[in-house]
Amino acid sequence: MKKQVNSFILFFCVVFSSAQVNVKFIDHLSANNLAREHTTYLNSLPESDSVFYFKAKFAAKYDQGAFIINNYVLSQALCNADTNLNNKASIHFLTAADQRNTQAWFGIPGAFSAGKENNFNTVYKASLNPNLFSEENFPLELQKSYLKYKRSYNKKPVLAAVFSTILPGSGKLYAGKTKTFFLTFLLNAAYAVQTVESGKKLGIKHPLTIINATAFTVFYLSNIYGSYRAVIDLRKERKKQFITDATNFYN
Amino acid sequence: MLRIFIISLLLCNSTIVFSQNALNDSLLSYEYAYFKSNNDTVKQMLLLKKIDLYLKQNITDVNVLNEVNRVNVNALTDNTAKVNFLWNATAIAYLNNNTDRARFFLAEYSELKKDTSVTFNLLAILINKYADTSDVNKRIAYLANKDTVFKDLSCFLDIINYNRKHLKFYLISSAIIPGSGTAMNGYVFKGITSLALMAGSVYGIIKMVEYGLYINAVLWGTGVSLKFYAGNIKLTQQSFYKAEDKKKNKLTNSCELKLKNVLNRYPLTLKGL
Repeated sequence: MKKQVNSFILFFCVVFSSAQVNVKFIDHLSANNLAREHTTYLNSLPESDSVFYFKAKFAAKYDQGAFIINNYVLSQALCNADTNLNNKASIHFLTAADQRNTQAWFGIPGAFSAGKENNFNTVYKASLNPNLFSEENFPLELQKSYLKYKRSYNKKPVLAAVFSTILPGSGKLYAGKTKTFFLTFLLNAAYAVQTVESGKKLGIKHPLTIINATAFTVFYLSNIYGSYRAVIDLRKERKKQFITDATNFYN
Repeated sequence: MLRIFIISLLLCNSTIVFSQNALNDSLLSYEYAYFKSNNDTVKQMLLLKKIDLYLKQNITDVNVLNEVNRVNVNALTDNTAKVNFLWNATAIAYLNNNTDRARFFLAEYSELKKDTSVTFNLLAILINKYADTSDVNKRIAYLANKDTVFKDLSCFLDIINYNRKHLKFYLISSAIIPGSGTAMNGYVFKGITSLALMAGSVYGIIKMVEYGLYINAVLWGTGVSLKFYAGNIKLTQQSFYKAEDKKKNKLTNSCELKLKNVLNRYPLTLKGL
C-alpha cells in the first residue's frame, strides 16, 4: 500500500511541478466551476508569464477585482492580447462598488483597458466626465442613455436648492420630477396659509401658530435640501443606467 | 503510468488524515485523473472519491453539491456504490437547501432500494416538511407505530396549516374605534397611541372650528387626521400579519427542538462511498 501511495505522490509531483501549463485542463476546471482545484492547480505551477495570465483569467471568472489587476500587471503582454479577458475584467470594474480598483484598472499604463480605441475605456472616461465626449462617440443604441446622463451631469445641485428657496418645489422640477414639484409646492402652500390664518386670528405667540410655523419651516428647509439631493441622485441614477446599457451593449 | 496513477488513487488508503492543503492536492489529483480518463465508469468512481474526501472532512457545502451534480448515476456499475451515492446526494442537496434536487435524488434512491428504514423515512420527512403534507403525514403515521417520539414531527403540519383568521374583523374594529384592532392583535401600547392620536386630532379640529380657523380645520382634517385614521387601519393590518409571523416562528422554534430531539435518537449518517 505504501508503494502505491508513493507512486501516487510521485506522479502527482511529476505532473504538477512541470513548467508546462495544461491549457485544456484549465479549461476543463473552468467549465466545471471547480474553483478549489483551479486555485490549487495554478498555485502549484512555477511562476511565469503564462501562469499569471491564467491567474488573471481565473480572477476575472470569479470576480476577484484586486487579484485581476495584480496578475494582469505581471503578464501584460499575454493579457493584452485576450479580448475576452479584457472585456470581462472591464465589465467587472465598471460595475464594481469599489471605485479604487476601477481607477487602478483603467489606469494601468499601456494596458488594453487604457488603450485609446477601447470602448470600455471610453465608457469609463465618459462616466467620469460626459462633457469630454459627444454622442457621436457612441453607437446609436447608447446615444439616448448617454445624452440623458450628460444632461443630468450638467445640472447643478446648488442651483436646484436656489430654485426651491425662491419657489418651493421648483428645484425638483429642475431635477425632472414634475409630480414631486406639485406635491411639495401644495404642501408648503398649505402650511403657509395655515400659519398666516392662525397668526392673524390667534396671534403669533399662540401655540397653534408656533406649531404651524415650525411645521412650515421644517417642510420649507426639507424642500431645499431635497431638491439639492434630487439632482445628485439623478446624476447617480443616470450614470448607473448609462454604464449598465453600455456594458450590456458591448458585452 | 496513467493506469498506475488511477489504480493508486482508487486503492489509496482513505484513513490518511488530510489537512486542508492535502485535501486540495488530492481533489486536484483526482480531477486530473478524471480529466485524463476515457472510461466513464472510472470517471464516476473518481467523482465519488472526491465526494468522499469532502465528507471525511465534514464538508457538505456547495462545492460538494457541485461534484454530486456532476456524477452520472447511470454510468455507475456497482449497485451498492450507486445506492450509497444517492443517499449521500439526497442529504447533501438537503443541507444546501436545494430541496428540489434532494427530492430528485430521493426518488432515484427509493427506485433502486426498497427502503423502509426509520432513517429513510426521516430524511423524506425532512425534505418534504414544508411542502408535501400527505406524504409527510403518511410517513409520520408509519414511524409513530415504531416509536411515539415521531408523533412530535406532526408539528410541521401545524406550521403549514397555520393561518390567522378574521382579518376583516380587526380592520372594521379599528375603523370604528381607532387602535382597537391593533390592541386585540397583542400590540396594546400601539393601539392606545393610535386612539390617543385620533382623539387628540379630532379635538383639535373641533377647537379650530370654534375659533373660526376654518382653513386650519380643513387642512388639519385632510392632511393630518385622515392620515392618522388611514395609518391606524394600516397598522392594524400590519400587526395582524406580525402576530401571525410571531406565532409561526414560535411554532417553528418548538418544532425544530422536537426535530433535534428525534435526530439525537435517530441520527442521519452519510454512507461511505
